[in-house]
Amino acid sequence: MKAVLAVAAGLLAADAHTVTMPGKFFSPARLDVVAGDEVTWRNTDTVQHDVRAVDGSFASGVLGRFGGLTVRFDAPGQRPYLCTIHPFMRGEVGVQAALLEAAPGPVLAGEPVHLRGRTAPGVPVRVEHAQADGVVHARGGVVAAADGTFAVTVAAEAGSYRALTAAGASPPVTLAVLGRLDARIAVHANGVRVWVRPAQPGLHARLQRYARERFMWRPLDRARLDRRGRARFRVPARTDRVRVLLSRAARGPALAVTDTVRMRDGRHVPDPARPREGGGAPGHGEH
Amino acid sequence: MRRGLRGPAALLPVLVLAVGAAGAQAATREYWVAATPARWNAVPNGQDAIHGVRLDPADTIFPTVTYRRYVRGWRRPAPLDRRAGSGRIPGPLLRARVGDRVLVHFKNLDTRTRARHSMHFHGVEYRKGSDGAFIPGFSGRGAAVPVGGTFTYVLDAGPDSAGVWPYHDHSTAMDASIAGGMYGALSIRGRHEARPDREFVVAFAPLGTLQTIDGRAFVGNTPVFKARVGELVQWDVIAMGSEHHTFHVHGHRWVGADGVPLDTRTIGPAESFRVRWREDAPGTWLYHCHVETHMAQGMIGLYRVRR
Repeated sequence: MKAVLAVAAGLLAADAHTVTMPGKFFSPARLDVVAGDEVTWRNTDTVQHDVRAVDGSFASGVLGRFGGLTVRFDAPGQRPYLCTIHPFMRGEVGVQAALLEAAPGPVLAGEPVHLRGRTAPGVPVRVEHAQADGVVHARGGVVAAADGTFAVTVAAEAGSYRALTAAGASPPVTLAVLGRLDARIAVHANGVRVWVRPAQPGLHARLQRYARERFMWRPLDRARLDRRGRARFRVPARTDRVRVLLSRAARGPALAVTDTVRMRDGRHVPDPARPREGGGAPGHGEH
Repeated sequence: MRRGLRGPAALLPVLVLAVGAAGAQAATREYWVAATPARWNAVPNGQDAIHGVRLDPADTIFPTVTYRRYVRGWRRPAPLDRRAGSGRIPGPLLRARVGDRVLVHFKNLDTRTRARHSMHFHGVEYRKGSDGAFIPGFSGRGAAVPVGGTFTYVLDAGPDSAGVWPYHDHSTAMDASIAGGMYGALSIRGRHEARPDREFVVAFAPLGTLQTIDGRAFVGNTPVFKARVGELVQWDVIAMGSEHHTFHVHGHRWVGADGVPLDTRTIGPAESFRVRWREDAPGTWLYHCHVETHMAQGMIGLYRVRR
């Protein structure tokens, strides 16, 4: 895993790449680069090898120990190659218009995720997300820096992301996204209890009250979920409607929002006009 | 206050006069007001709640410069007068009574645009030096106070000053300043007039792409004014900008100068009037500009009356 990450980081960090021949194989055998990058092959084996494109566009001739070849790739496309001395030794360079990578590790749906990438310097980039059923949505645009790098922050969704430029698209990147948090709320002893499934100890919980005459939710209290992924709040006597937002950072975007509960003097009041899920303004009919 | 008096001894006569104001004697009132940078959110709830339309924060949150009241000697900003709806946009509600002398100490703390600013008051008496209006070659220090500078405007509330009046920047930067919210209200009570139980400032003015009341747009963002049945309420209405507005309050009527009852009154740029009534209509009411396009762009608010 570590090695894979190191290579991945190298892909984005540098525009120079090295493929070695430590034995009768290419390492790495499969390499993605950005159009304009250079790739250097180096024979680190004790016997002779060579490097030759299947389409004949580049060839090294016989390479002795530590002998090498450097090729610059300008046009996007797949470039398979082989060692003609040992024809079972094969590799491929994928020349891409752009490359994209996501930070490793599973994230919760809705959590902000930084997608970093690289393309040609100063090029406009769009990032789009494709759902499993193929529906595609735009998820932000940016202009690449002078070194070709760019970064976009998205709210994590299951499915794949790719970066698009005028010259073409990056290979898709799939995020490991856990299912959406299920956040529950219950009235309890002059206050409310909140818990989430799966348990997420340490999440920030923000108690909010609905300010009816302001048409908005206002903060009331805050807490961290305990080791069992739960928290309790006292609710002031005159408060009407409350809900709890769960987030990774104290002021971060909400990963989950509980239902709204209506209270009077610490007791639950049945609410005929239940607010929509996700928590905009409560519906009409309570005036 | 005479020049030359300095230090705590100088405050003594002012305090005596201010205490005396509770009776019928004339007083000297002092206010400290600064031009300060602000990051202004004209639509804190992010929506036109009546029509259910979400607004883009890029159109409703922006940097600007406003008047802000300070405590004596510029030690810190004074608390905002939220019940009256004033404090930043519009600037602090400055109150006085006929016969009072009003000293407004102004300081330019606009480190954002670094423009010169001033305060120009309608409705009161003053010598030319306290006019606050910039005329090249004629006006004095008070017409264009540089960043970091201070100036004291000396105003007198004369017999014909009773009512509500606007004040605003009248320096070289006045066009941009007024468009950004540098205006406020001066409220002068007649010598034998009762003090209202509630006083509300309604300042009609455009702000960016919005039409605002007190610098805010749409219900829940504009002030939610509150009163109880039986209270004497006073509405201080001013308008700034280049358009006319119509002040309308639901569920209420008042008597105009010609004795005819009104529930809507027109107001143009830099005009002002006040409306008083003894509250008798409990409920949650709307107040708004009845120019339909202005109402649709945010000139509407809530007035809540409890029994």
